[in-house]
Parts: sequence; structure tokens; C-alpha cells
Amino acid sequence: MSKIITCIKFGKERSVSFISHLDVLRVFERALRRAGLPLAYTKGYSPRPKLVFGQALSLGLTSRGEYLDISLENEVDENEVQELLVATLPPGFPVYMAKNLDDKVKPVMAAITHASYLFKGDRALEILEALDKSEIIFIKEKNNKKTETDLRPLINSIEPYEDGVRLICRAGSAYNLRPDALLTALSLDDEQIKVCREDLFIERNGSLVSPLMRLM
Amino acid sequence: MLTYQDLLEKHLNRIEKPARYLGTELHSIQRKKQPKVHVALAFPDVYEVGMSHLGIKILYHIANKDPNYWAERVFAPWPDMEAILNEEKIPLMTLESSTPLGKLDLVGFTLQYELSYSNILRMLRLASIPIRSKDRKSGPLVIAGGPCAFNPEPLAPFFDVFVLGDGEEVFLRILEILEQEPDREKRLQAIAKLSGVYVPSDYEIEYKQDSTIAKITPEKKVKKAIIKDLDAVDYPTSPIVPYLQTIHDRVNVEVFRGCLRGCRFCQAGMLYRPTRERSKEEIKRLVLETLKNTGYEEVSLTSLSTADYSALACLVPELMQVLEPEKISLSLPSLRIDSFSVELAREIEKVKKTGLTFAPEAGSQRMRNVINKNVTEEDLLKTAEAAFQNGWTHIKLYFMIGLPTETDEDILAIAELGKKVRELGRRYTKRVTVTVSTSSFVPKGHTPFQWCGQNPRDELRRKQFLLKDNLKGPGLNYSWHNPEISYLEAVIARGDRRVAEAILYAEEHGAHFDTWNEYFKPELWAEAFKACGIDPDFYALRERPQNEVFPWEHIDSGVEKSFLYHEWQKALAEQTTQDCREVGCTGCGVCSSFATAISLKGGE
Repeated sequence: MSKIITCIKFGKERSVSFISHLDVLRVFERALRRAGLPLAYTKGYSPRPKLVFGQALSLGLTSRGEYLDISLENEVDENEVQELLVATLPPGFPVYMAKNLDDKVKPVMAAITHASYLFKGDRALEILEALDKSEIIFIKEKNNKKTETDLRPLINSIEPYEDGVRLICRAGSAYNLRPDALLTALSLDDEQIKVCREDLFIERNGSLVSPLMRLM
Repeated sequence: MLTYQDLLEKHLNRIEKPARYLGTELHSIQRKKQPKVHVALAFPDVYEVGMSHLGIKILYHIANKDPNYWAERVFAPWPDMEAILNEEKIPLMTLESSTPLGKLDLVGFTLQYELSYSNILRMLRLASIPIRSKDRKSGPLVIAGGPCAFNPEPLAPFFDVFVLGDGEEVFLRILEILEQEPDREKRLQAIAKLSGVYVPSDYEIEYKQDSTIAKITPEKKVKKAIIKDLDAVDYPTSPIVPYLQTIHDRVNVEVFRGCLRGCRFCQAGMLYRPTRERSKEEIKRLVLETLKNTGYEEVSLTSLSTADYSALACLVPELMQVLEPEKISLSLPSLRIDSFSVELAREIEKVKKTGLTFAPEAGSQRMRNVINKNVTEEDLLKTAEAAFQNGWTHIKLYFMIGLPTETDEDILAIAELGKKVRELGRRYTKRVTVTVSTSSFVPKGHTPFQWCGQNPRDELRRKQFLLKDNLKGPGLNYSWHNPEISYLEAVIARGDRRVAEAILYAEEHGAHFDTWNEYFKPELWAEAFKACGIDPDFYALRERPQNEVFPWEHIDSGVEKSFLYHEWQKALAEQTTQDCREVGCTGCGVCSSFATAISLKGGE
């Protein structure tokens, strides 16, 4: 028997959108224990299940495309993992798919390069104007120090989608566009614009593919 | 009407921890149909504190087992949410269904510590429920239980009913009455007849010229409710699993109730007598079932003194056999000062060696005899040595200062003991740290020390400085408590009905979250006492004569006043009293009062 990574794609609905990233981690640790899966643990003084999330989601956002790598001691049928998690997760966390991957694939957090977000609300269409700008300056204040970032290069595309817009942008540990930063930079942050993360991607040969399709 | 979810959506940026207000955690109870009886279990502190409380978990489970009942939770909203409720003009609501408290049949508060009282009044105010019981002609009954209900007088004007002692059975009887009887007044009359129930408006207090109590009428005492067999009552194995990290975020299984060690300062040790153990098999079943239902990574065996559980030596290895392969840790919240405890700690901390905490409570043998903490310096040093031998490097020692008859010699003995433990540790490790922590003694009702005065705040500060000066050096840490907080606790703990006015005044003028250093305002409380014509020193600092009528004279814990006084005299004579399960009955009176006996089921 050899170790395996089971990557699951899950969502975060409105009712759980106020649960922080760290708290979501605990939700999964406990659900996985209740599911009785053969979890692989970290070594050391306080062993913990080896879990890797795709990308932290800001508080208040919903999502249809979150990813979690679970290290298992041995292979379990993908459908069974999905069913077990559907049964043990609290309401508000739908599980769309589970996929077994070789345990040598790049961890999902390091692999993510892009994300798509859906914006809805009265003034959401104004986000489209961002495309015409040559730079979009976001000013962040921390410890009395101001840092300016140009968000424009991080945007891949913005298009109308249903009654709002869809944004595809850089995501991940190296370059990341936070949707709330974009709204602030566009002076749209006081508006009641609802943001949903639609999905996360990996760039491969110029096109965006699902983290479930990771290769070794 | 806006729900918590709506408020969070609208004001997300202003709320520090929105997960406090979700009410949708795993195993929280939702009902689609309006239940026959709808109540709230209220904890007058923030979510993370309230969700760690075992009593609420038990009552939540017991009530919600019946589909006709719905018990929801409500905690003190943090000031960020309080501001939003006020701004939006929304009354305080339950967590699960965002129902305003005013629409319920009953709101039940737990009284865990005196400094949460301002929060109780604030919660009633936020709920737009009249704060004084006499002003409530309709709306929910407002009741309270928990350890502080044993001196209910400082809250007497605010509650319709207090429940004394073990709540499991009484609470169900109360729900039955609410189900059968729609009329508020008749409900109260029926509840008043239950055993363990105190209705403050049925009692009158007369005072003497010197401000002490002359008479409490009627003379009839109210006896606490008691569960004789813990195995026979329901215990939650599907407790709510919070999203936020709470203070005790783990499986908590209560292994026994009560404690017979007889420490003279300890109110819980007197109130929850006699010791009643759960059987070992039942404990194992509860642990395993709860783990399966919650997925927690830690189990704690709780009680007032878990090392005293009669079958612990078998229970711990049996549990570890199951828990260890699953990477689930076991914790024992209170270790005794003996080598058995170190042995246990070694058993449960096979990999992780965090600190060990021991509570000698006093530095000198003389002082420990006064408080009846029956451990010797030799016990402590042997135990510490065993801990160092087994690889621990950090030892925490808890003490109290301001104890009756205390001298500077007793204070310096605390520092000496800390240093001795450090020297001992140095023989085994270079990295040794000893943390000495002191709290300031607060005399409580229903204990042998209910007659004695608290040390004045300046005296406590002087003693703290004495320790600071003598606990300097590498590997020694000292931490202490704010004497202002201990003083207020002492005033309220032995307060009478007149103190209620000061609590209300303080709350009206902004007091809340008094246990939180950033919100506690001693000057505001001083102003409140002055405005209400109350001398707080009268309650906190005064030594009482033998025959004084206490504000809690009519509240009967089962332990006789004559026994407590005898213990007080023995304390002054520096004589100890042994645990009755070792030396036979010491005559506290609780077993005969309830026609029951100590129950050591674990050892069967």
C-alpha cells in the first residue's frame, strides 16, 4: 500500500461564508476524522492530518471552487471519499468531486496560478471599466506604512456574466489579486457587491486547467 | 426583521469574529415547526467562553431531545455586535433562529462568576426585557442557575426564579410546566413548588442598625436539587462543534461531580457534595461515542479533581489504547501533587511534553494546614522531581495570597518553594522554568471562610511586590491577578439584596465584560457603590461574628453551618480535616440531608 493524495473540490455557501480560513481547516480535520478515512499524519510532537488548501478565501465570500489535498495512507475509492465527506461535513460545504492523485504531485497551494470570481450587484458592471485603465493603484496601509500596488497586470479578463461580471486573474502565493482590493481600488467597496469565487486554475501551456488535472 | 446573517452581510467589516453569531454549527438544533416550548440558554459572556461551559451543553441536549421543546443559545454579544444591534434597533436574539428573547417562554442564565452580572443586565436590556422581575407582567420567565445561585441575593430583584444545585431534572420539570400551563403567573406558581427552586420575591429581608441582616422571612430554607446517580442522567454525546476555537475546544466527559478533599477556601468543593462518580464503562462509552460524533482531536476527563477518580489508574491506559493509534490526545485538567499524577501525565503525554501545573495553593505548611490543602513540601518536591526525571522542563505553581492568618513569612515561603523547585529542576535540565502564579483570595459563602475578611487591596499589592522582589532570576516567572477585580468579586460574592442596586447602576453607566481587563472599570464600580449608599468594604473586608445571619442563610447546600464554623475554628487552630472517603464521615451533613451517600462507582 502506498500513500495517495485525494484532492477534493468543494464549495462554501452563504451560510458558512463568515467562517475564517483557519476555522475551515478545523472543520475539515474533524469531518475527515468522523469519516474514518485513513489519514496520513505529520510527524513530530503534535501530529496533525496532512491537509493543503488551494488558496485562502476572504471572509464573507462564497465559493464554488475550493480545493483541498488530503494525504491518505492508502487509496480509497474517489466516489466513496466524496460520499463520506458529504455525509460528515456540516451544511454549507458542498463537495463536488474527489480525485485520487499520485502523492508526488505539486501541492495544490503551490500549483494554483489563476482564479475566477463572479461579481453581482447593482454597480458590478462598472468593474468592466477596469479593462480600459492602464494602471489600477491599490493603496494598502499597514503599521502606518503605505504600500502601492498596481493591480492591472494581475487581471487576465473581465466579461459580463449573467447579471454581473466574471473576472479571471492571477492567484497563488507569488502574484495574487484579491477581489476586495480590486473593488477598493475602483472605489466600489462601499457598494453591496456580492463576490463568489467560481474556480481556481493551473496554467499549463497557455491555457487554464483544473487543479484536479495536476500531473506529476 | 433582520437575522444575524443579515447583520453580518451588512456590517461584515465591523465585526471581529462573525462566526460567533452563526448558530449553524454541527449538531446545533434547528426546528422547522414552532415548538410547544421555546427557551434560551443564556451565558453572560462571549461565545468562546460560553461554548466551553459544560452545563449549557448538558441542558441543551436534555431539552432538545424532546421535539416539542426548542432550547436555543444566546451569549453576550461582543461590543462590536452590541453597537450594531443598538444602531439597527434590533433586540438581542437567539443564535439558532434569530428569535428576539422577548418572544420566548423562558430565558435561563448560568451564573458562573460574579463579574458576569453586569453582562446579564446588559443582555436583558438589549433584549428589551424589563430588568426587574416585578416589572415583567408578560414575556419570558427569567431564571438562573449555577454555582453563584447559592448566593442569589445580589441578583434577587432581577430574576423570577433561581434553580439551586444539579439542573438536569429540575430543568425538565420546568419545561413540562411551560408546556402544560400557558399563563405566566400560574407557571411561576407551579415552578415555585419544585424542589431546588428559590423565588426571591417570596422572601423578605430585614436589616439591623449596623446594616447586618436581622431576619429573613419565611424561615423555610430552600434545598438544592441533587442527582444521586450520574449514570442515570443523560449526557450529550453529540455536543455542538463550534467553528471558532473555544477555550475548551475538545470532548469533555465529566467523570464525577463533587469533591471531598475539603479545601476550606473552595466553594465548589462544598456546594457539590457528595462525590458521585460515573462508572468506568459509562465514561468509556461517552468518550468513544462523542469522538465518533464530533471528530475532535482531544479528550478531557473533567471534574473538580480528576486524579481522585477511583478507577483512574485503569481508565487512563484503557482509553489510551484506543486514542493513541487515532492520534487523539487525552488531558486531565487537574493534577494532584503526588507521583501517581506524574505517572498519569507520563502515560497520556507519550510524545508531547508541555508544562505541568500543580496547585500547592499556599507556600508554608502552616498556611496549607489553615486552608486544609493536605499536601506537604516533600510531596511537592518529590512530584516535581518525578516530572523533571520524566523530561518535563516547565512547571507552573498556583498559589493564593491574602489567605486568613497569612503573614509575610507565608508569602516568602511561596518564593522559597518556587526556588527550590527550580534548583531541583537544574539537576535534570538546563532549560528549567518555574512559573509562580498567584490569585488573591476571595472569601465565599457556604465555605468555612465565609466569616473572614478579605485583605485590603493595598495589602494584596504589597504582598505581590514582596513576591516580585523575591522571585527574580533566570528560570523564574511570576504572574498575578488584579486586586481590583478580586475586591469587586468579594463584594458581590457575599453581597445582599442592596448590592443589586449598585450592579444595576454600574451597568447603566457602562459596566460590562468586567472579567475582561480592557473593559473593567474599577472607578465606575466605586461610583456605583457611592451613588447607592453602599459601603463595599462592609461586604469584602469585614470579619463576621459566629452568629451573623448571612444573606444566603435560607439557601441550603446540605452542608451544615455548624460544620463550616467548626472548620473555620480548626483553620484558625491550624488543624486539618481529612477526606471522608479515607477516614470516615467528618460530619458535614450533606449525606444525611439528602438521604444519600458518596458514590464511588469507578471502583466497583
